[in-house]
Amino acid sequence: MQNELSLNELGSYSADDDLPEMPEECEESEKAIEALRSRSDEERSIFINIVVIAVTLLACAAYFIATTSSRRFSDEGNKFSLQRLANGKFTAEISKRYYSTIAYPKEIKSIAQKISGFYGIGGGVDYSDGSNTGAPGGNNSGSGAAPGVRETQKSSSHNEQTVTTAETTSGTAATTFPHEVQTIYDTIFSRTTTVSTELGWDPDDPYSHKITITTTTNNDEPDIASTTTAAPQKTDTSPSTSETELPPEETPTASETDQPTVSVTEEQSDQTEPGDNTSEETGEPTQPEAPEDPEEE
Amino acid sequence: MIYSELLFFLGVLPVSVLLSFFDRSAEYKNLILILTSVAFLSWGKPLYVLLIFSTVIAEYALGLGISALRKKSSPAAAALLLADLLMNAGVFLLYAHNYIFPDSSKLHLGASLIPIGAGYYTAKGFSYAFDVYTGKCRAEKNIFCLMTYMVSFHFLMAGPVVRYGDTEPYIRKRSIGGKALSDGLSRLVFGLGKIVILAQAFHRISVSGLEGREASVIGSWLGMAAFLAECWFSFTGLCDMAKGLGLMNGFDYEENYRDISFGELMTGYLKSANTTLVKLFSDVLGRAPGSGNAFIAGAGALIGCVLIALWYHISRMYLLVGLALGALLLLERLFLSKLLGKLPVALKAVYVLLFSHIILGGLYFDSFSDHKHWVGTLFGRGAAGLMTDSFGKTLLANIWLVAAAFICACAPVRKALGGLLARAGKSSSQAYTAVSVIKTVFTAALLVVCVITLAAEAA
Repeated sequence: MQNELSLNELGSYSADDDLPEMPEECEESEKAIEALRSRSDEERSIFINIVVIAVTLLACAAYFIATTSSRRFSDEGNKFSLQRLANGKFTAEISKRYYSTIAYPKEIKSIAQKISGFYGIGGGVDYSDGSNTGAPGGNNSGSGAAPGVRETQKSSSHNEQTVTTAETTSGTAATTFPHEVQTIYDTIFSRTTTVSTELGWDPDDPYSHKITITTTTNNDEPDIASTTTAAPQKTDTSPSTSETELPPEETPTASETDQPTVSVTEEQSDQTEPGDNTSEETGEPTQPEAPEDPEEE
Repeated sequence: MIYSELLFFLGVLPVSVLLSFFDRSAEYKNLILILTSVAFLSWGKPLYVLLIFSTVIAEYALGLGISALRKKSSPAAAALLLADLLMNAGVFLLYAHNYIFPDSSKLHLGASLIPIGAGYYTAKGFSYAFDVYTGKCRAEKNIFCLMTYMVSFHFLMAGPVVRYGDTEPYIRKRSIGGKALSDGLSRLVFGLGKIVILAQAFHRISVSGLEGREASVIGSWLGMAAFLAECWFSFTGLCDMAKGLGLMNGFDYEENYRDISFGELMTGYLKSANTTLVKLFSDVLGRAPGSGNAFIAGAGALIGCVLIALWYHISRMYLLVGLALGALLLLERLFLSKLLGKLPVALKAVYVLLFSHIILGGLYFDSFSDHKHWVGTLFGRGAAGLMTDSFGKTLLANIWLVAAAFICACAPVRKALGGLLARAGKSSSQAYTAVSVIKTVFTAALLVVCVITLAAEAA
């Protein structure tokens, strides 16, 4: 072309000379360069995304497998057999062990609780009474999700009388799921504690009689307590002319020191069928301890 | 086993994805998909394996029969289609709604035998036979391709009800590119976040508002809104996870939900969830004679609403909710859409949200009297004040999540935010990289938070 100049000819020009007009860059090449740049940016971001998320996922998987593997495939209580595989017990036991042997549970719960503090203002979720579901948000019914999700939670809540939000002593709100442990004062079905006291009687005392005092306390309303007293059981110790009457068949429950014996029972009224919260894993409220037997002293 | 279980996405999923990369052939990928799907579905419920094989063989035979008879004798083909419908309905009732059989019945199964996803499984099976009958797709002669379509665990939790004609090209040939894998992972993690974090936050709010010792006006309104939001995010979370799983395996399914919009009134609102199932019912009911007539189309919508409500759960309340929604759709088809169509979007939103709140709220209760009592508290009857302290505290304790959920669900806000990030990234190469790194770090952090939350609840 006429406009093409060799390098030697270009070099012959001095800096102040008017250089020949250079051709403009093609617009299409600019667009192509821009497209290539954006494509390389996109591919770089895709690569970073895949690597970071895949590594995170695999690291989490490796952590859980490594910390639970030793007890998950143990032969104790979970021997592999075709029968156990066919009826699902082998895989169910693996799942159970996977979730029950999660390492550092307290630390994980503590971290989860701190993270939940960022969910809003005023406090987070209390994980200290969690149950071993491991799968929130899904359902095990066959139809699908959406309202079915609620059905699973509702069915468990109907068995266990879903708790309301309870305020902790620190003033933060703690909400428990229906399947979680229900503390005694948060359940909406009534719960009573019955304490019965039997006053012992002295067989030598002709005027002694046995009295049973029963005190029923409504734990939802501790101020309201009812007390019933059984009618005294009088003993007839008047001597007969022919023979001496033996003392009544009821033997005293007290020791010779005439200490009252106390037995404590706990009853639940208006109780529905026990749900999962009656298992050992969810924990039951502890029963009040019986007083020491004076005879042991 | 379900998607949001630790054992699934930290065990089955990585194994399935990694194994599928060992060979590029579609046959190998299909084999891995079938094996992991069967393991997923039969985990703890091994009899489901027998169900899978028997129904796949039945669908295969019926599909070939319908295809052969379709042109020769339409009534015979229709009879085979009816047989397929009865078979799938029987499996659906037996496995998805086994609770309708009393304990003394021989058909009553223990919980350990009931497989997950029977609803979508049978819907897919019937959609295949229906599409062969209508000529939308040809009958599959390779039973393994059909088995890949039927058992794939991607869409058994929350759909979509993919049609065989749309999936067949991917079954026969597919490849997994970097972009698909990246999008699939991101979608999977966001879906998991919706289920584990957002849905649970709304669950806490709904329990506080609806099951507290004292009902309050605001607690009743917002508690039910939280229940509906919990359902929405649980469902869309599962759909996102399903989409992500599909992308990671080379499939590109259609979306099973769409952004909530009020422009089409209640008809559009109800179609925003489980869109593929609604489409299947529309296709089937739309073949009824006279469906072009507004009244008949409205009656079809009413029947469809009732059937879909019962598809979710067979109970009196679901039937009543289906009838109420269907009646509203019928009225919209007859005259309401013309009357309300000219209103501004804000008023349409008020109409839709008010009626959906009151009608769909019936899904929460077991009896009509409970639902009636709750409706009363909405307007102050039986309510102990405007708002209780406990509900207020629960709401505040989850307020940032509520805001995040609003951004997710509200399409204009979400698109505006996405547009802002895209504009920020276009300014230079470094800005683009910075924005993408922030997105990646956020996604990874979300994954870690979900894992910690699930582990804390399981521990």
